[in-house]
Amino acid sequence: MIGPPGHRAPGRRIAGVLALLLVVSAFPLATPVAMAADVNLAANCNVSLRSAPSTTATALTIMPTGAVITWTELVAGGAWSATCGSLFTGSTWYAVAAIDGQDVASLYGVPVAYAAASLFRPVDAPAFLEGVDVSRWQGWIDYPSLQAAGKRFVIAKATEGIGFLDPMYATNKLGASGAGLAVTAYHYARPDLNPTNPQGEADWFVDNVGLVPGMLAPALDLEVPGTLGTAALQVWVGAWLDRVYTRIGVRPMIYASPTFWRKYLADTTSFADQGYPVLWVAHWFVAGPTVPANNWSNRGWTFWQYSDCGSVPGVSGCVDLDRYNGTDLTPMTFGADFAVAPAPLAASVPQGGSTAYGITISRLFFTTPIDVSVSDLPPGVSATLSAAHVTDSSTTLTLSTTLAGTPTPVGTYPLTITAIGGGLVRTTTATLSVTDAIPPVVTPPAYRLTYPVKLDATIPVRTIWSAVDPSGIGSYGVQRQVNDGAWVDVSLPATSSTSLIEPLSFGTTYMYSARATDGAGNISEWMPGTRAAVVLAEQTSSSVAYAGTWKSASNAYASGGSLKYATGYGASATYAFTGSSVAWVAYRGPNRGSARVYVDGVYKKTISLYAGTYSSKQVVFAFNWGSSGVHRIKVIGVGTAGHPRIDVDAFVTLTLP
Amino acid sequence: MTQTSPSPQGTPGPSGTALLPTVVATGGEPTASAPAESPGPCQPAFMAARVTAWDGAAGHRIASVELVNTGPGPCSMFAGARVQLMDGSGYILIDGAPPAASAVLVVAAGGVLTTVVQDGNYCGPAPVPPVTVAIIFPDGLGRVVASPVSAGDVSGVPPCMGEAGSAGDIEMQPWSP
Repeated sequence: MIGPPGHRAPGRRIAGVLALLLVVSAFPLATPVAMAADVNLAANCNVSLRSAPSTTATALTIMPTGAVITWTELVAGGAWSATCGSLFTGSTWYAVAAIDGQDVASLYGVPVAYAAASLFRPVDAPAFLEGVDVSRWQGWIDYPSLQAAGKRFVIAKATEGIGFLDPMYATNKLGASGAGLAVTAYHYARPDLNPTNPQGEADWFVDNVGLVPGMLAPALDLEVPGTLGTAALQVWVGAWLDRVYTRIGVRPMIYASPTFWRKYLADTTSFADQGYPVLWVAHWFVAGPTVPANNWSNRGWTFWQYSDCGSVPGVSGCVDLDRYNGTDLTPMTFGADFAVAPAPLAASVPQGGSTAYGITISRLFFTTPIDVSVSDLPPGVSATLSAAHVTDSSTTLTLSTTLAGTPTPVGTYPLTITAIGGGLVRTTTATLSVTDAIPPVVTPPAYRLTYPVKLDATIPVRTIWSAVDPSGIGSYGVQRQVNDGAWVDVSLPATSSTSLIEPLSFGTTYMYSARATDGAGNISEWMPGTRAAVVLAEQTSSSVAYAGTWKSASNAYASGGSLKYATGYGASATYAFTGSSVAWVAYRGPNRGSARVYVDGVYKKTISLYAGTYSSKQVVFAFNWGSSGVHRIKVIGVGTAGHPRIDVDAFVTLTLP
Repeated sequence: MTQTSPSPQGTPGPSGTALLPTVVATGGEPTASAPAESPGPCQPAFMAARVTAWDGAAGHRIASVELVNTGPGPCSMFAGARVQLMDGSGYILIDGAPPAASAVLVVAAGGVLTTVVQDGNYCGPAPVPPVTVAIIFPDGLGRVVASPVSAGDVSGVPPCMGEAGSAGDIEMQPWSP
C-alpha cells in the first residue's frame, strides 16, 4: 500500500458523500495526461484508493491484490512511492471509475477515485459473470433487455417456509430461461417458523421448484435464525440440504452473509467440507466479499451478491446484483448428463485373485443418483460394487476370479460398465486380463525302445514327457532315479526338450520324473513315470520259438557270443514276453536278407538286414505300447534272393516292474 | 397508528396536476371510468394503511401493504411514495428516497391500494417492536404509518449485509388499485 508514514486509511463510508466531496475540493484539480476508455487493470499488490490524486487525500479503501480497476484517464498529481514487489515512485494516478465492476460512486460516494499508476497490470479477460437475483418484488422483468445488458444468470426466489410460493417464480423462471439466461431458484429458510421441520421446508421447495437439467444449482437462503441455537440451526440446515439432495440428487448452494454465518452458525466449515462446496455469499458495498468458514474451506466464494440496488435494464427499481466467480457456469449446472470412467482402464489379475477399479462418476457437478452395473464378465468372475446406487462421485468395482474348480480362463476381457441415472444410460469399458496361475499339466515320463541303435552292455532308451498350459511351456526339468536311489537331475539337450535318449543297463531299475514351468512362471510338481527295466533275451531263450530251419552260430560280435539264423522262406522266430516294448536284435551285412515282422499277429513291417558292411548287435526293429502286457513278436524270413539269411541275435523288452 | 392531518379529502387539488395518466382505485362500488377532473390530493388523515404480511428475499424483507381511503370522497395520489421502516418508538430505521415522477391514482372513497415495500441492510441497533412501514405523502402533507402485522412483529427488519454503519435502503413498488 502507499501513503505517508503513520497514515491510516479511514473506514469506508457509504454516507458522508458531502464530506468526501469537500475533501476532494481541497486538492488541486487533476490534470489529465492520458485518456482511456474503460481500460481494466488488476492490482499487483494492495493499493490505496484515494479521493484525490495525492497521498494526503482521504484513503477510501485498500484494494487487495488482484482487484480490477476500470480507469478513465491518467492524471498528474502528488508524488508517491510504494513497494509493490519492488520500489515504485511516480506522480501519475489512474482516475478510477469502478472497482471489480462496481462504480466508485456507489461504493464510496465519489464520482471518481484515484490510485497510483504503475502498480497494475492488464487484465486479459473478465474473470466473472454477472447476474441478478429476483423475487416478486421486482414484478415483471424484461429478461431480453436484462440479457442484452450483459447479465448471464438469474437466481429467482421460489419458496419460503412451508406454503409460500413466490407468485413470480414461474414467470421469472420461464422468462429468464427463454432469454437464454442460466436460471435457478432459492428457498428462503424459515427456521423461526418451522424449527423442527426442515424436511417439510425442503419438500415444499422440491415440490415447487421444478428443477430441470440446464438450471443452476438451487440455493438455501439463510438469514433468519429464529430462536434455534447454533447447534440446532446447524442441524436444521444440514437436514434441509440433505433432504433436497436425497430427493433430487442435487447439492444446493448456501446463501448467507459472513455475519450471519459467523454469528448463528459458529462459522462452521462442516458444510463446505461435507459435500456443500458452493457458497453464495451476501456481502454488499465492498470491493471483495468476506468469505466465512475459513474461506469456505479454502474454496472461496462461488456466487457473490454484492449489491442490493443495482439498476439494470429490464428491471423496475432496485435489483440485487450478483457475480459468479468464473466464466463458465457449466460446473454449476444441474444436468442429467454425466460420464462414467474406470480407473485403471485395464487391470491384470492371476486366476484366483481379485482386483479393483475405481468407477468415477463425472456429474457436471450435479445430477441424480446413478445405478452402476457391470456385464460381460468372463466365466468364474464375480463382481461387487461398494455402492451400486451411487449418490456421490465414485464407487469401487471389485472383481474376483476363480482358481479352484472351473478356473477363470486365461485371457483379456472387455467389461462393460453401465451407469443409469436421470433416464440416461452411459457405458464405458474396462479391460480385465486374467493371467495364468495354474501350473502346467505334465504327462509323466514314458519309455520307448527305438531303432536303429546298437545293443551293447546297455541299450539306448528314449524317455518322453510333455506338458500343456494355456500360457505355453517355458521349460522342463527331468530327474532320474536308479534302483530306487536318489533323484538326480538329468541334463537336457534344451530346456524345451520333451524326450531324451539314455543308455539303460540290463538288470537295473530306472525311474524318470519330469516337471514343467509355464510361460507365467508357474512350476508344476514333479511327475514321475513308472519304474522301468530293460531285459535281454538271447536267441537261446526258451521264450523264443522257432519254426523252419534255424541254425546256431558262434560269433564273437554277437550278443552273448552266438546267434541263430535261417535262410529258408517262411522260417520264423516267435518271442513271447511281458512288457511295454520289444526290440529285435540282429546282424546286418552283405549277405543278409529281409524278414517280415508281426506283432501280436499283426504284420508291422518288412525289415531288411542287408548292408554293405557287417555290423553286429543291431536293433533293427522296435515296437512300443502304452502299458505293459503279454505280447508276441514274430520274425519271418522272406527268402531274399541271393542273400536270404536272417538272424536272431536277441530280443530286448522293456518291463515296468 | 399516527396520521398527520390536514385538509379534508375530496377537495380538488391545487395542481389538478396529474402529469401522468390517471387510474382509478375503486371501493365497494366499482367506478366505471376516470373522472373528468382529478380530485384533490389524498390526505393522510383519511388514509389507513396496514402491513398484511412480510416475506423475505435474499437479504431483503418484503412487506405487503394495503392503503385504504377512509375519507368521504375520492382523492388523488401519486403511485410512488417515499417509504420508511419505522420501529415501535417511532425511530426511523431506514429512510427511503423520494420517488421519481409517477402516475397519479384516483382513490375512491373506501378504495384500496396495494403495494409491496422492500427494505434491505439494516445495520443499526435492535429496534423496538413493532416494526412497520410509514408512507410519506408529498408536499408536506404528512405520513401514514401502517399497522404492523402484530404488536411484537420485527420480521420486517432486514439483516445487515454490508459493513457496520452502511446505509440501508427501502423503496416501494407503485400502488396498484
